[in-house]
Amino acid sequence: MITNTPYGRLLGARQIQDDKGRTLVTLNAVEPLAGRPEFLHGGVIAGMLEMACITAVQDALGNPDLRIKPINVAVDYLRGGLMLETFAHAEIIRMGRRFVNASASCWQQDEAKPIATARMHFQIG
Amino acid sequence: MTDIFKKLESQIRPGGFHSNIGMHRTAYGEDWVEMGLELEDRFLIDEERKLPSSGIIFSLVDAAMGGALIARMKKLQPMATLDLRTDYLRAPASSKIFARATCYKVARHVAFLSCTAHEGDLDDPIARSLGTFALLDNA
Repeated sequence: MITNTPYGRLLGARQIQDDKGRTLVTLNAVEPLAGRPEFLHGGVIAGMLEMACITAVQDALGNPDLRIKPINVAVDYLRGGLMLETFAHAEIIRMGRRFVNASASCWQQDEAKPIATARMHFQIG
Repeated sequence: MTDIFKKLESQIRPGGFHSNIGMHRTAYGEDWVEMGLELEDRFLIDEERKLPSSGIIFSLVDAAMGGALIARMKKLQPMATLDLRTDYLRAPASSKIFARATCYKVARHVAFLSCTAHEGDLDDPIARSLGTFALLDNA
């Protein structure tokens, strides 16, 4: 589980199931995760989006021994992240034999108003 | 060269994620900044393979780009990252990484930046990035 790694613990990230049965990555925005005052750091938001993508890829592969290498990430920052409980969820857009494309969204109070989105490519194995 | 960072030292607030992970400025010029980071065990995403998370490299790039914008603007410009794209070229092999960001264009409301993350040799990068920052009105 990606949240159960030193980096996941650094961000205080947890995995939860929402009421639709989806796996979410969540964390509480505390001061050590702040960027400019009163706002969550963009790097932390990117980290959450990446963790959500990796979680989605791991779930889709169903084999924890396969290596998942990030090739690239593109993050769009849509709204300032406030110092609030924050959620991220990713979907697999295409699962190929070698490459996976995933898309993630990060939000706070309202999922319909994301604070950031990301696309990622991974290489498997 | 105007030493903008010396001038701003008292205004730049320590704390937050930057201090938490130990990012620090290692070099800078008229339109660029390089930030360094010791890769500690708490950044690992795979303890067995000693693999640091890509997110920590991304954070260093974001910070270096913010610094490069300040270097170019010669003032503590309020800003927000609009978008940031990173290619992860290879896994870091050493315990210290750097991100050298350049602000290559500033328009009225937006700035364009590029960044190379490396381990001491700019010609052997670990990541390359392009980013766009919004220039916010002075509060």
